[in-house]
Amino acid sequence: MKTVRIIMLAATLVASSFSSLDADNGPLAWQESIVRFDVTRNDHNFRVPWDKRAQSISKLGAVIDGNEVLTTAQGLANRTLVRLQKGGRGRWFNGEVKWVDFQANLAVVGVSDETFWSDLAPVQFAEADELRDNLKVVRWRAGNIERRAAEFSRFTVADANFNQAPRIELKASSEIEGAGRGELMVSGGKVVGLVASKSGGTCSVIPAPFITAALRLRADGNYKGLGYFDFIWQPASNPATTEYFELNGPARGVLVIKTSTRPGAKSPLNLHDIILEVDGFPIDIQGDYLDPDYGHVIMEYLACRNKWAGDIVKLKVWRDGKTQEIDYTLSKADFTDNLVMDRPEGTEPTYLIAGGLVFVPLSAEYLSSWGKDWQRTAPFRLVFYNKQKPEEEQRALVVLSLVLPDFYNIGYQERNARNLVLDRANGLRIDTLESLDNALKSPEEGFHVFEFKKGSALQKIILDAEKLSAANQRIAKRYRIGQLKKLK
Amino acid sequence: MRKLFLFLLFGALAGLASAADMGRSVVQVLLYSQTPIWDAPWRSNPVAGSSGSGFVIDGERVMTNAHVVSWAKQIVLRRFQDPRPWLAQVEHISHECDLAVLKVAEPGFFDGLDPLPIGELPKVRSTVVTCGYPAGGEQISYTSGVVSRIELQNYVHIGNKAFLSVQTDAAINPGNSGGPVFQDDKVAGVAFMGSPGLENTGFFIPPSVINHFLEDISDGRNDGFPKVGVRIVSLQNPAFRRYLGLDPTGDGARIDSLTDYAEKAGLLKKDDVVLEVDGSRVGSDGTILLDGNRVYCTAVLQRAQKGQRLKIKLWRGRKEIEVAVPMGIHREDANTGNLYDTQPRYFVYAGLVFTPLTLDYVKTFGRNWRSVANLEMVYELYYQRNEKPEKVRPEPVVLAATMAHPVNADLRLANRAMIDEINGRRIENLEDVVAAFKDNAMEQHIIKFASGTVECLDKAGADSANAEILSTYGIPADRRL
Repeated sequence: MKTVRIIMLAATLVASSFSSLDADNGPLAWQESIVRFDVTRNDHNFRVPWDKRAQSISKLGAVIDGNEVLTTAQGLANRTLVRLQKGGRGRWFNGEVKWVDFQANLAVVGVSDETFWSDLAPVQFAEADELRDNLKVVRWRAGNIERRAAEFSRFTVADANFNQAPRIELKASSEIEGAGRGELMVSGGKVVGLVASKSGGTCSVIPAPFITAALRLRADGNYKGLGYFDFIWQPASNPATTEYFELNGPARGVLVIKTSTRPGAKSPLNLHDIILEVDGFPIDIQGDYLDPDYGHVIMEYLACRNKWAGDIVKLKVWRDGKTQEIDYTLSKADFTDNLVMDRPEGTEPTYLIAGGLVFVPLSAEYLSSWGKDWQRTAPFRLVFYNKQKPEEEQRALVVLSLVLPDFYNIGYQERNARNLVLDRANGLRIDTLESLDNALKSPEEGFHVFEFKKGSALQKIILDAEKLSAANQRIAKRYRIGQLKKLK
Repeated sequence: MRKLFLFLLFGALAGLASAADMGRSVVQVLLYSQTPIWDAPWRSNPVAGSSGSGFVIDGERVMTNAHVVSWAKQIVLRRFQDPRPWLAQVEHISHECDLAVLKVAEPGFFDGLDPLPIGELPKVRSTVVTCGYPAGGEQISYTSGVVSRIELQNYVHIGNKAFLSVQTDAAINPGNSGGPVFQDDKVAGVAFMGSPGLENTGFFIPPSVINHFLEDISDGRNDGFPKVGVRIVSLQNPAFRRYLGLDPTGDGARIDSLTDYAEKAGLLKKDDVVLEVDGSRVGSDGTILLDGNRVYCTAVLQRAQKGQRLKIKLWRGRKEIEVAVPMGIHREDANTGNLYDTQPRYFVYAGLVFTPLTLDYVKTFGRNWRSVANLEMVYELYYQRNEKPEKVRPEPVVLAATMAHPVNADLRLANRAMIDEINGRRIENLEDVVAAFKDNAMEQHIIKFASGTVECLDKAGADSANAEILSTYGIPADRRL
């Protein structure tokens, strides 16, 4: 009897491990659950903002419950047409983006044609303890399912390119080429995550538990978006520093050095509070904590570990020689009101052209037009504004980006009249294109007076107000610009 | 701005040469120099050998480029066809305009060497002959070419100043530096730099700059080039000209901005239109006619000596007025240019190495020193003064390095960081750092960085470790102020 039971047990184990391998490897595995995307979008050149260039992007997604497809948000900004294809070949179906969050880098797409959904089956997402072993990257390639092995490396919390929105990422190495377009990272028949990008041999993957939490909230109508810690801290690893702030006991926690990065924001934190715990997790002197699922990760993740914008995080801080409990409400990861505004969701570029002077808002998109390496290649002064905070009287900035040559603007066509930040126009402070448009309605004694920020290579430009509209018409015609201003 | 490089021959030293008339007064300058290490300011780089050229001028002196004799440990001159080495000393050096005059203490050096007279600015397309000891040969070398153009050019030795400069297609090669450029048996310039991206382009320093330097030092002191402290930009837009009440096509360029000191002086104002400088009519593009060439008008401003008053005719408030602007020396931007011949200032306390924020210091970060990590320093060095003069520190200080010791080992931010406050004292210069540590009565020292980061040091421990750290790391003195 005993023997039989042992044998039976062994048999089940073998069977189950076979089945999980089959789930990844069989010739038909995954083909019912991965679909291809063909997205057409306007790839705007923010330095020639009236110019639209159509771009086509191919990517992948996973079929989920409720006849929907999950993919990354990348490439969906400024989309004009989204098409989907199943089975790696054949007919394309029109899709409709039903939900997208660019900070979370997730999107859900629907297809109204019912025939699309036949032969498709939703994927199953992995749990937090199933994310590390037997990883594979799966995608459609030349009409067949391609699978490449991947090896788990670590979990990290990454900052966005322009702002502080934290993202948890699973890092895994793989030799798969050109990944980073929503391929599935799978293990044992379950989806471990979507591959968001690949750099060198390392894939960055949005992990399944984060995806399932977001999808669940969205289904319930409770999705509020990512939150983040709107304060800046430094590690409190120097005992002399903690001693100075009179922290008793062993070294722990992090020191708050900026309580908020937004103008006028009220923070429950005080400068030089030492944060000891977040939601019950002790913070170490590096600013890390031990996550039950992901190991040691930086405390920023506690702003999105089952927490969302508007939620309260419990902080235990050391202040004035004793501990104190604080309710910290997470700000929404929305950086459209940064001094250099960041609108990852994509908008058509806005601009205002006056007498050939092209004015644009100073935005993340504008800086990104210098390419991936914008922090080094864009004009230093503009890059530095991304480090500066908006102020009450200067919440955003308008840049003179270029001058379309015309006799009307002769004298301003040299290089020193580019990438200048406006201070005032006709005596009025300028922070948005609307305020500039408004200022242009009241010229000063027949002239438009543009003043640029102190320290600019050129600080003043004057245009003839009376001749402006004739010059505008001439310039619009010569440079074939349909619309001389687009404020929204 | 075009990238230029200096023709200084490092490494192998060339030998001596043969004859030619004018060439008799051209000498070879052999230099051994040693430059400091800006992020370990008590240390120096290895001694390096290099060579250049020079020529005899009035008053038993040798003229050469400043970059030929910078950071000198030993300067040896070799006369034409004379194997004997002659020891020379720098008498005066101007790193701004890259010129120096040398003295030879030992008698006899100038015997038989005629001083070369300084001539006039050569005309564009006229022929010039360069003479010197360029690399690749042992003989004195002559090359001829034409003057290609004359314009204001950034002088790369100092790096942050532009002076009049003459471009020629005569070959100017490493080792030519400091040698004369001849026209009609007179010196029409001093060869000093070339351009790596362009063929047949060498540059020489014109007589106006040479004479300014010689006149400046004639009282035994090198004051330098005075500045007015204004940015003059073209005024060619008809609307802008009408706005200021000027004829749409006439002359005159506009003052677009002023430095803090020019603004305080109050003689010149924004939107003043500069019509004439020292008798030269200024065009709407900001140029004046100088010996048949249109050059930017600062070339005239640079003719003035310190203390002179320069007559400037202006258009202000729809009237012509004349002001006499006192020409002063302003060195507020010294740290944004290359520094020479003065050892870097520093202060070491408990292994923390403090030094002023200078271009030379940030260059130790490597080619990409303007990258993201150092945005705050770059802003402080180059932009703060123009944008927020009220917030400028006379001498911003950085924590350059930390020499490891248990007393400082827990500092996380240990190098490449700009200091805001120490023990509550705002750090405006290196002396503030010394005083802030000395006057502290607390048990810890508190260092606040520009980024907001705070680091503390145990005071008793720091005080007692100080001497040991200096000796462990071979730092001969805790300060050079």
